[in-house]
Amino acid sequence: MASSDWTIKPAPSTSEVDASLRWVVFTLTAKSALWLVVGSFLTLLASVKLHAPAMMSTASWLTYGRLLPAGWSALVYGFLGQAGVAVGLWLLARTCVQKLQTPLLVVLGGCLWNLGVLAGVIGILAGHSTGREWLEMPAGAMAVLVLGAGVIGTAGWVTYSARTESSPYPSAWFVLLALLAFVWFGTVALMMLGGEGARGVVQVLVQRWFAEGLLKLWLGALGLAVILHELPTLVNRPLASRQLALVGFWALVFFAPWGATGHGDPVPRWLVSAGIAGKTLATVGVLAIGLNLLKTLEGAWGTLFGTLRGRLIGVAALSYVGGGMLQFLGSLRSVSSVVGLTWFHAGLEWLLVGGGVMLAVIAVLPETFERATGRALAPGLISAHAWLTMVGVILVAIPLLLAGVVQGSALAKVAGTYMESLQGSMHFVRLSSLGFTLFFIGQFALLAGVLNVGREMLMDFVGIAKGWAAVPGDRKGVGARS
Amino acid sequence: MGGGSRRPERSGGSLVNSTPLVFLGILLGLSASWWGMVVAPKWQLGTGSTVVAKETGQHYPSARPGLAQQGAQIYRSEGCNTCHSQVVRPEGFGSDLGWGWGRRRTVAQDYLRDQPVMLGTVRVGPDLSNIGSRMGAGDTNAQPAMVAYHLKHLYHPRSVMAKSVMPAYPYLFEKRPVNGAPSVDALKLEGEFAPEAGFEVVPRPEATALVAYLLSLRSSISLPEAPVVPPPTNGVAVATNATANPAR
Amino acid sequence: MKKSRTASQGNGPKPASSPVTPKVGSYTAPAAFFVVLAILAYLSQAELGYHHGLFSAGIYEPYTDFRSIPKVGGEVNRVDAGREVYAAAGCVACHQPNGSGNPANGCPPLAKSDWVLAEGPARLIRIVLHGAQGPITVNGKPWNGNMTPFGPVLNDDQIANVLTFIRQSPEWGNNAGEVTPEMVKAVREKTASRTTQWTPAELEKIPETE
Repeated sequence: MASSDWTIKPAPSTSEVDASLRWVVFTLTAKSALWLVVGSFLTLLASVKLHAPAMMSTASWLTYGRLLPAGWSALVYGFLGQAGVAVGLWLLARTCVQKLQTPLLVVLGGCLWNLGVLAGVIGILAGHSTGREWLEMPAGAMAVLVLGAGVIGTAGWVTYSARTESSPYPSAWFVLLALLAFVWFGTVALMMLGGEGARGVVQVLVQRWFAEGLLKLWLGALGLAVILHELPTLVNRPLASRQLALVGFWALVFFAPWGATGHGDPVPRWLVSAGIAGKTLATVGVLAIGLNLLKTLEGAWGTLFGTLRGRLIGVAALSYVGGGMLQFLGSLRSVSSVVGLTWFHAGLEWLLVGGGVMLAVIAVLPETFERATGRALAPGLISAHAWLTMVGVILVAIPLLLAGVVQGSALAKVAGTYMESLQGSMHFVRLSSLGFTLFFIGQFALLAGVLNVGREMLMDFVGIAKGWAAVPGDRKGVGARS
Repeated sequence: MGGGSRRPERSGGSLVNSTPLVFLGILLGLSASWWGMVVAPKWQLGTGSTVVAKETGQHYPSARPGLAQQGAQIYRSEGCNTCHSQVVRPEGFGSDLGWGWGRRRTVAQDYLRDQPVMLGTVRVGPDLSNIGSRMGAGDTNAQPAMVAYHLKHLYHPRSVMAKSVMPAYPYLFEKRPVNGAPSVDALKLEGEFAPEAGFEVVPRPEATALVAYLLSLRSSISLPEAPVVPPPTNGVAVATNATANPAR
Repeated sequence: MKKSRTASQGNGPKPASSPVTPKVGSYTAPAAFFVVLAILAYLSQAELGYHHGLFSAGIYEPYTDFRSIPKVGGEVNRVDAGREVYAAAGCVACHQPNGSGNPANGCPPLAKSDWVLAEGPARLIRIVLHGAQGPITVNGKPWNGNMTPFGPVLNDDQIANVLTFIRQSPEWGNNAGEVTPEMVKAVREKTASRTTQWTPAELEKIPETE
């Protein structure tokens, strides 16, 4: 593309932009909804097994150590990796005021992506987990995923390059970051962990850096893109400050993945300090974004929390900022000596991923879906899905965080025993199982809605194809529409 | 990307497309943490080699026996690290040292030969850094007894620890009819955990390997960067008692 | 993209009016915000400044520099160290993990053995240094084994550790006195000229405690 093309290009209309995303959004969303059901089912099973450990123990693929990473991978890569990217691409095209370029690449990348997730989840259940958190999927599956992300990302970046708006709304930056970040972290992690690439704790550093990068700069960036776009829209105000958005963006890009280490890790002292310093500086980004949202919202909290969608976005924003602050607090010595290596870690991941990203994505998913496909999901299903997911995620994250604090306090009692520390926290873990249950039930609502629309679209398509066959002369007229 | 200026409307189309700059800028930002958190440590720690331990004169860490290496892969495959950590934290972090989960904190040297290194993130179960030497104290826990204990525990955790939440791993064992004399490998199970009369439970190779791996987990040798400091003598006499108590 | 075109002709509900991309306001963060940023920047700099551990691979929490790491060389736990030698040097192959010995090759037991639990280690040190062969009575039962010399492959520290381990091994229920490197060194010097294995008969002439 010639470097100056975009300035003279006529800007497409909003409906043209939406139309360019139709099949991309539909296919990605539909497949992501399937993964959401699968992932929430596997995590629910894992959660139930904590209370009934003897249940279903005859099959190796049903063991907790396989179910949990498989479920998490299905949710993170299968659902968020597709639904988040679908929403992100839509935001990107909208904010860049340009039709999605090379949509075929996205469809192709989406196929690769699903292939990777499928192979990965089955691989984990079959016992081929790599044993590295967030990277459990076998390296081959992960490589397919990275390739798919690269193909999809290319389409995103080409769209950005062809933008007709010279300085797009900040959400665009975060989407671009997410598209690039997955490829970057994935490629480097695969290359450095492959073969004899890394020895000893260097493997842990690569894995933690990867996980932290994905959490903050892939998922987190997608979530922020949505929140930054939706929150002002919902209260019908401008985003308070571009400057603060910029500070937040670059602070996260530069510092967030440094938070790979913390107190107690078996790495030299300077690496622990570097990790804490990184978490501290990443907090700058969280605060900048928090202040920006706070100023945007000033006095309009009621408006935001007056609608279901506003509640989702509001809870997502609170989870993001709250989770970011908790992570900073958790890096301090006095706190990490209690909550380190406890449920707190799981709770924080659920707060950031489930609350900060998943809720934001499902808040806009129905609308994105409707604009792109021209068909609405049934409102009843949307609100059932939203409520069950929101309550479910909160009931998972908060009890797990509390369980961590309780467990950590008990772990520090030399006179106690390990069993006591576990039993004290199990009440909260049971509560989180309730959350997992609601979360799981809710996902059927989304799946039902998407499948229903898919059926409609298919019937229309069949109807039109019949019409074409009957009146060949019309074909030209139809084709000229977009 | 962040400049506040709007595009001059149709001003002749001479603005430079900033896309490559933005791309490189983000990539530069992303690579900062890579250099600091991955590349620099790799230079510093990635070339580490075994050290000769003062106490024994042996190279540390020594290579795991083949069976234990196979066991490490079972450990990975079953996702044991989902619930078990392999990290002993320094004094002041939990009761890692107080409960005898280790005689000293673990350091990079301890993981030199692990592939993959499975530190774990959540202690749903107890830490396993030193499980190979922890339960060896007390004369009833000699090696064969430890193997028997771990096998029984894997087959059905609640047969040795009533309130355990660990999944059972019956698929690592074989329940078969007793053919003539009972196998010497058969687990000694009692009560509700015992197989039907005429049957016995023997470990499959996977279970044997996993236990070999567990018993090879020990990181208690004194190292220059993490010396074994004798526990303070005030307070509870936990250091020896705790090691014998599997409930820790 | 023929499919998308055709699908757009469907009879489904039309989308609501398109939301406009939000505008960006001109709010400028207050000075207090930048003060907070400065504090965070200072904190992170201070974290590295105070806890850099010389950026060395040899400094771990809770130590701050090499001088702060206690030297515990004199307080070696010989039982634990000796357990490692026992496994690594190959003793375990014949004497077995539980110290039961192995009747198949005439290797006598160590657990609860009267030879091992002797008052002093003089004979044990000699056996390890130069090996032993010939009929031997352990706990009243006759054995006839052949042990190779370990003097050339193990140093005084290692021999002291492994002998302390077999004499004090809690897992075997043994409980006899410690063996120090000095004891080993003394015997090694005294028997420097010896080139053949000991026989139990010879050993029995040597007092347990020299």
